[in-house]
Amino acid sequence: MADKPSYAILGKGRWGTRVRAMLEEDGRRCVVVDQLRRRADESADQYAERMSEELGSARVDVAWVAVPPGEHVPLLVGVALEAGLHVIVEKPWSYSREQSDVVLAAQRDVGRLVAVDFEYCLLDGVQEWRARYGGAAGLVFGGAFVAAGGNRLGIPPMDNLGSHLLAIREYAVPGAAVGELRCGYAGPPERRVWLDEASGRVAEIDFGSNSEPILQRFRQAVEHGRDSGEIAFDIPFAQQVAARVGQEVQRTSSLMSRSPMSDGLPH
Amino acid sequence: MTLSGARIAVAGAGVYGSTVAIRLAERGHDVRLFDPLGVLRAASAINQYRVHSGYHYPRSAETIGEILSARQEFVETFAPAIVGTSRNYYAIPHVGSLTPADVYERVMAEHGLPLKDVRPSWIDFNFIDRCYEVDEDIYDPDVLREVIRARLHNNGVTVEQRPYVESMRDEFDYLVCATYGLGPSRAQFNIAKFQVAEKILIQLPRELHGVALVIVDGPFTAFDPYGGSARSLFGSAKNTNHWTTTDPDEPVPAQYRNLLNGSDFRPCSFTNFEAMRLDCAQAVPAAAEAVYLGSRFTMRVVEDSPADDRRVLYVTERGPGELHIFSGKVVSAVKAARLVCEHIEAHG
Repeated sequence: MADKPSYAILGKGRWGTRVRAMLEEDGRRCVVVDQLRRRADESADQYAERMSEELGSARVDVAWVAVPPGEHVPLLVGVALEAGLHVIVEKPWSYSREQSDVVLAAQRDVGRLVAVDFEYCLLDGVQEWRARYGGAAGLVFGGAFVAAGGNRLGIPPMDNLGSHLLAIREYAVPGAAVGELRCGYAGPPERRVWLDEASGRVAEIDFGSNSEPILQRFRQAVEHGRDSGEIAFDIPFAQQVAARVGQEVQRTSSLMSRSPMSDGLPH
Repeated sequence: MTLSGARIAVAGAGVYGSTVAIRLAERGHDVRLFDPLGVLRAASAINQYRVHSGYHYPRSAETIGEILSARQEFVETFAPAIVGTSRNYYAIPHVGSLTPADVYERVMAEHGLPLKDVRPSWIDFNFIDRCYEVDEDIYDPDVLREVIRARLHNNGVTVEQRPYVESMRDEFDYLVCATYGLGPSRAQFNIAKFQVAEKILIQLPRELHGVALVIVDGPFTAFDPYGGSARSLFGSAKNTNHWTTTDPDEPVPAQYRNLLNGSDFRPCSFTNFEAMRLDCAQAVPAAAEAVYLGSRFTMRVVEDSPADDRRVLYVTERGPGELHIFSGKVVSAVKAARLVCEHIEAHG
């Protein structure tokens, strides 16, 4: 498909504004849908119907769900799919198997994509890892994602920031064991991933201040996927990341429960 | 050399350097943009984000004129990053301002800058003499970065996350330095002073969300919205700057070195938050409830002109094919890019 798709941006917060700026720079028509809260007097069906009407009247190709995670997200994704749109949704995808299955079934029915925005996977360094170490054995993946400024979304750091790190692993080096992971909302800001082997560090990517247009690349990946019918960052991929996050939460809790020095963050 | 297709290095990927790089690339030049920190990671991303209209500089007609000559093209060029929802106020205290209210009103009238006399309920008029609502804006640094990143990419600018070094000079027909008197512009501008500035992220009570307040021309503390968010930033002529020098070779004190240009706000043990909170509460009692969320530090480089607080734009040629920019306010970035393009085309 050679035409430039148009987008409905669901959410008018800072992230939605940033997404819109990027899309409009790239010549994509954007419509902002901002009445996303379910009204007190609205049933779930009425809410879905209203959203469906909003999205239908927007006459767009792709819905970008730029709202914080919550139970409304799978509902909005479902509504967008029913309206015949491709959908981009923000990470983490930490919804139940049943909710995911509903979305996957709807996706199959309408033949549309659902992509989860793991844009850090599109860093040059991560692409290089995927090409170079994707099939390698004996590697240990580690990472740190500390974004100071508090827990604005109300999500534990491993579930939120850790999903970025583990998405990089899942995408680039799925065979690597998981070693040290540090995530937090306080402390010196840090965004790094690394690969170790028995003899020491093999590679490291510091993406704390990257200048790469990764949001644009994600848009390109989705638009290419719209044509090919495939995208690496789909719901099954996001489910695998979420499962890995769950394992890490369990592992670090068990480690911390044995540590008298525990301060609530994995070290 | 033709009017397009020149090989140009731009040192410094703040808003000035990035805008210059975009404009040059739009005109068909082959542009490489160098900055070890990346795009909009230093002073361009760590400030009060004000899109000045001129109200801030009552003692410098030159600065007001500079801003008025530059502002419109900035707003048009970066419209997606302009936060249209801030409510903007300038207030004159009864005591302590270098510009009393009658002088302020006269100067603004001379420049055609309208003032709407207002009395917001959240201001203590025992401390404040006059308060004016004005037409001004702020920009959202994250949105601006996204816009600039996209334009750099779409115009084929190569962004290199490393410093420009003199040994590269032969690879380029032109060098444009937008490094604020540092890096390759070191010692090029003897008008500069260098300051370690602390920008403080705060949570204010709801009635102050979206409010941008300046208390005019003295050692006062006020606040601006942090982009399009519900949080705010304290700013203070007295307490923002922790350290000042006019010697670009003087080392930054050790306690600040690792904090400069950090990517996120984070709590700091030697923050000036408390001093700012108490100071601001004199004019805005509700500011006493400000909650400290974190600090970011950057090197603020401004013209050292205490008599009139002048902040104008300098674009100077220092040697063949070598331009240096010393910026006034962010709003002059597009004008600077235009001047650089015109210079290169006139001398190409």
